[in-house]
Amino acid sequence: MGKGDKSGVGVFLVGGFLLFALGLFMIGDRRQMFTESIDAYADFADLAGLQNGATVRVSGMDAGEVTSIEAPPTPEGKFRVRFRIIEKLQPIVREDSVASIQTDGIVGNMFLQVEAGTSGAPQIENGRGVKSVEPFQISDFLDQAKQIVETADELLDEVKQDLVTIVRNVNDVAEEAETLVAEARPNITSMTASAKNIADDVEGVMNDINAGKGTVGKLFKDEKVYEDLKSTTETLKKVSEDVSKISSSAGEIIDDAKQKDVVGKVDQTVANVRDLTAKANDLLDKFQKEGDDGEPSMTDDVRQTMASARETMTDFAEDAEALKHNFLLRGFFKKRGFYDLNEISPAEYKAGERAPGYPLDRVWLHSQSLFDPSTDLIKLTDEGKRAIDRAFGEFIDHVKDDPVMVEGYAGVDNPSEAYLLSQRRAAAVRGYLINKYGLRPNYVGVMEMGRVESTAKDGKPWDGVALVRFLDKKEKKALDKEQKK
Amino acid sequence: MRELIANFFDDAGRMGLFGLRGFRDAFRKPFEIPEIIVQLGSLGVRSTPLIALSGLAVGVVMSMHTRSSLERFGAEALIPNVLAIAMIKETGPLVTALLLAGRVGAGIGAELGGMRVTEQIDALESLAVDSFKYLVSTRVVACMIAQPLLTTVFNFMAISGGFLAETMLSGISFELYFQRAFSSVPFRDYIPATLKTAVFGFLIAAISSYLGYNARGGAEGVGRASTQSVVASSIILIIVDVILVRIIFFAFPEGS
Amino acid sequence: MSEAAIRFEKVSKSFGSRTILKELSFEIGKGDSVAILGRSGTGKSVTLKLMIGLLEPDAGDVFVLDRNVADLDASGLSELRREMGFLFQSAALFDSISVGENIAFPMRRQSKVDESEIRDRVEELLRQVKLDGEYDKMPADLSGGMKKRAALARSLALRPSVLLVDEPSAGLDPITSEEIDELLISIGEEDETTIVIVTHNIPSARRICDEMILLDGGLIRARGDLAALEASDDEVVKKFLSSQSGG
Ligand SMILES: Nc1ncnc2c1ncn2[C@@H]1O[C@H](COP(=O)(O)OP(=O)(O)OP(=O)(O)O)[C@@H](O)[C@H]1O
Ligand SMILES: [Mg+2]
Repeated sequence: MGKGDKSGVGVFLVGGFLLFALGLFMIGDRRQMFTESIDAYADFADLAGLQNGATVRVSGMDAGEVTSIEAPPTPEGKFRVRFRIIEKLQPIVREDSVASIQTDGIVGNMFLQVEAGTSGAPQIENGRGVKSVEPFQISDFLDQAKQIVETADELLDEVKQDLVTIVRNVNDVAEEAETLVAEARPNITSMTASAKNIADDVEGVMNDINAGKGTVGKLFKDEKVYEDLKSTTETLKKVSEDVSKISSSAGEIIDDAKQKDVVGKVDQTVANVRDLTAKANDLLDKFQKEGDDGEPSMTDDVRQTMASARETMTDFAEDAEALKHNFLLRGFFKKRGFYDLNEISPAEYKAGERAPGYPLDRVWLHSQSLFDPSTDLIKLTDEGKRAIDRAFGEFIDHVKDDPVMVEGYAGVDNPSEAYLLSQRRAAAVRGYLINKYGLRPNYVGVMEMGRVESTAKDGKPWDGVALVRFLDKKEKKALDKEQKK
Repeated sequence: MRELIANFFDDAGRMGLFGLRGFRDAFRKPFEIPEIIVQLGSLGVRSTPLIALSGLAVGVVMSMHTRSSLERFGAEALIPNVLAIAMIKETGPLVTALLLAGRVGAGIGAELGGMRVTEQIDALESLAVDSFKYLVSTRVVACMIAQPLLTTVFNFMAISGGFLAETMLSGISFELYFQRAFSSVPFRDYIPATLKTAVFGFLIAAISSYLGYNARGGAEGVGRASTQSVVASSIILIIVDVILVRIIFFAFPEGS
Repeated sequence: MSEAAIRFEKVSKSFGSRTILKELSFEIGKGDSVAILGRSGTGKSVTLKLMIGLLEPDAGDVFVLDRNVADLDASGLSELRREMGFLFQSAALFDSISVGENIAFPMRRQSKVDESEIRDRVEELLRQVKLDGEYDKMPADLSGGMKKRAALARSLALRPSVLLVDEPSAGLDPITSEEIDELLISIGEEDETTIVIVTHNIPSARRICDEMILLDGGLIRARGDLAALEASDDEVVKKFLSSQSGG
């Protein structure tokens, strides 16, 4: 046996072993075994086939692997999935990071996805746990979503009751104040007193109200109403948080049948909230005066409360909006041909770009007959209500299917006034329609047309409200086809 | 037929015991270290070119086949993964073992057979050498060491061959290819599959040593021992592999 | 009577249905040189292999250096064999290693033998069997006679006290044959080695050995020094010697 032989064997043994070790290293390296790492865990009731050694990804980056899976001690318990993630990613994994079990491409390997946390939450420490979302289960999710939406609805109903009461009360007050001012007016004119007197009178009235004099004043100072409003606002906030949670996990919804239900409810909820907000806004417009002792008056309080409510509701609306635009749900909204009637801007509407579909009927209601001319408040007269009922009678067979747009017109010169007035008019009619006929709010839109010149002989611009029934896009297509034939 | 099967098990049993004795005797003094090194040279080092070239060829061919089937699903990116896992888990160990059954099995059968019929084994005995330990144990041990190493060489060459084919077709980079290749191979596939080939080495050495060591009948007997070594070790290899795969599956379950 | 180095007691050996040796009994004293003669296929080689334990007797006992070969365990047998040298009829050189390594092989198997010592001893043995400078030749490149001499050198390497040689001069020319005989004689004399030679070469046997055993049909047909054998009136013995002595 020669020396060459011996060294050949040496090379063979060492080389072969190194090659084997290289393989080990490459596998280990791919699994981040040689990188500094920390251990963490997440609990799952359902593993969905996740295995020991499965890849762990943090925000999509390969970050380690599942090191062990502990079976639950009781049927109610959860599997504890322990895993390792490289230390590099520790800063973005927070205690509120959410782990979920997901499937990888066509190979179908299960892996553990850990989302980055929020910067407010503390960093994950070695051996600590993160939150978990159970592997996608359609029925579970839908149940949950439905439940949340239902509670949201319930809450909104309560809030609505309260708000309606407040609005009514405030309206009463306003009317009373209005009457007072109106009564005072002849006096003032006749005395040709200084404007200060008028202001004083008004101010006096307002002060009385603020001081809690009279029933109206008491109502305004009623802490309970205020507290109720506040607490409902809080509840609303919570609801919106809940909803925002759903919408973030909504990426997992696929089911079809139950979906519409959920979406519909969310829609309704959103519309309800909108209504309320609009009313609250209306209300606030009338009570924007500040208390002169610098202390925030009741109106301020209400305004503030309403502002936060509006904020909350905007959040809520945004979340709901996000839900609607979520790519999985989008289909249902698209099919309808429009996302939301209230989203359409007057310019777009007038240009016909984003109209909800094909206009079928347009019924005119003139402002004189509709609204109480004795007050600046937009108040439907009984005659007006009857006119609306008559007009709507033509629509009644179709209202379940077709969107209805309430167009508001105002003949005043100032464009911003025209805008506001037309909006209020349309909103009042819409509110009446929804309340009376129980229409789906998202199928009844308000379109503030502002000042629009008419072709009528008298040359006066349009003044009033028009009800327009539309076919949605799909039906419009079908109709187009038929007409071609 | 029944007799044939009975004979098969009889022979297999004898060969198994023969090999086990060879393995056991390797750990009794005196250790035949120099002879083991010699055998590593002739069984291992001299098989390396064959194994390396075969591995390269198998890698090129397999990656091309894999490509044609994965292309249909638009999953060309998985070629390195599929090739690596196929090679490391089963193809590498088995093909290497079959190649070595051919080269080494025939060699051992012929060499020991020749030594038997030319009285060289008796000569060893007459020189106070435990011929069994000197000839059989050393080969068994050398084969058991060489087999996993050669399998590793085969695997790496096959994966490299796959890389050559892939980089020519898709221009994939060296780094990305190897990262992908090793990303879907878990330790529980790599280590047991590679180490199980020690059993293949054992089988090849045991079977061919048995046939060679007990050869009879001159040159013809030597030829017979050589051929039978290849045939018997190839068949038994495959059978044992099936069993080993099951055992490994139970010993290293997927989810553990 | 000198102490026996090798003693056969009623040794029988058969292969299958063929009986080769029938209750063979004999003794070879320590330091004696004995030739075993016999026709081809009578069992001379078998007898030698029985002595070193490569074959086991079917019945009877073989004693070598006062040890019953059949009773020895592996290590005992190894120990015994280390005191013996055996030249195979077929030489049986290890054909994977060179001639020199073949001769060095028994020494290398001994623990702690100095490499240079081995080298010197191999050179010496090569000289003795007239194969100077053939150290690196491979066995396959040797002639039959050269293989035989190399194998003899290997069997002598450990200076055995019992040397068994199967036809050492077969295939050798008379001159080389004589030189090998001289070597064996010197070994027998110097080291008090017991030598058993199987041979067909009567002159060679006569030169080396004190005694001859003629095997025939599994039995000892005749035993004694050449003179005694020549004096024998046994037909077979006469025929054997007459046909061989001329050759
Ligand atoms: N291992 C064996 N198996 C079966 N038969 C054998 C074996 N060894 C020897 N024989 C038979 O034993 C007989 C004696 O053989 P052996 O080799 O002793 O003859 P021999 O006297 O040495 O003859 P030669 O002078 O030709 O060498 C032969 O007939 C041979 O066929
Ligand atoms: Mg013979």
